[in-house]
Amino acid sequence: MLKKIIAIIEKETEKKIDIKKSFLDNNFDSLDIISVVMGIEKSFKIKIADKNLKKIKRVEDLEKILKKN
Amino acid sequence: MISIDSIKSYIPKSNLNIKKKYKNINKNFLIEKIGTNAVARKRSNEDVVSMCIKAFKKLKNKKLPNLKVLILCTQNPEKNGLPHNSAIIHAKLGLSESIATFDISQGCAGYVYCLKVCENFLNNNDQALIFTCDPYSKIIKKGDFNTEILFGDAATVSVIKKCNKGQIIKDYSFFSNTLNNKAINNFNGYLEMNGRGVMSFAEKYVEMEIKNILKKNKISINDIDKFYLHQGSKHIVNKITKILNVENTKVPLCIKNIGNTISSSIPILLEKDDFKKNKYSILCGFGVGLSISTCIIKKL
Repeated sequence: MLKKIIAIIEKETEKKIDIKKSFLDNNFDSLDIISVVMGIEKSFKIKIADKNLKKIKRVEDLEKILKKN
Repeated sequence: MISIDSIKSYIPKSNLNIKKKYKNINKNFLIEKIGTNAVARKRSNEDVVSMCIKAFKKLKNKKLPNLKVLILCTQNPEKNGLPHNSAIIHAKLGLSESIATFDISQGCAGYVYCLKVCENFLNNNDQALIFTCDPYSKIIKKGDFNTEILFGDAATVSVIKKCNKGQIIKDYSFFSNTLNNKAINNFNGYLEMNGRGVMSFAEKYVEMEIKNILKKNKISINDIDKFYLHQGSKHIVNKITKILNVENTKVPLCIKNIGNTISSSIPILLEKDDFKKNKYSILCGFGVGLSISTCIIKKL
């Protein structure tokens, strides 16, 4: 799952990510995160609620959301 | 058939310097994602009518002997739209009484709506004026980062002609996804926008609409010289460019020092880019509603 998430992140943002760091420390801005979330939703056919957007600080937060779904 | 004869815009010289106001903002974010460090702002003594008049005064040929229609596209009119602001513009320009004059309440997709309406009003050689002006600064809550950094004020005027030569509009397509109408709305007098909702809508449906109209008209996407997309932000224009899989050079940008000017963004693009040299162009507006309007222009 992690590999797929990273592939989506890199495809959607055209940026490399160090998963040990937060999105912010990887120089991802709010629009990058929205693009990632939309890419995740499309690939995994899930819906991530707007209220959960602010909780997404790192790649592991996306993993947690996906595992819950 | 109708053609777009000439376009002029009025963009206020005063602006909101985003970098100055939001000192902690990432400079790259502004340049790479929004597309500008500053957005145009009307002065306090300017309004929808005065900005439209200023655009009109820039027209080289102000004599329009066959003028039959005057349309204003706005959702933020003066006097709450009573009278319709096109009537005030008509009076100030001293135009003939035999001209149909009305407002159209549409946002980012509004320009193509106006073109379609003109089509039905005009007979051969008749002319129309389409004004666009939607100063969102009237409804932006001061300090609302999401909207303040995005929207700019401007007005445009287009002279439209019923004829068989020139930049002829070949076909139109319209799409309404109204269940999501709250994604951009006026709540208690202030603009509210769900940026994610709008982005998701645009990424999902703009490509579909453009490809459908091309398929219907048996035109290859490779034959389109320019795609004039609504300038929501640099990010959304670039995203759609990528989804369409067309070269960046075919999708002009005009956001710098202006911002997203709602219904004015497409005519401003057309004015700044020499669209008359194109054989085929696509215009596509998307936003408030949520709605999409698309048309194909062919040089004849």
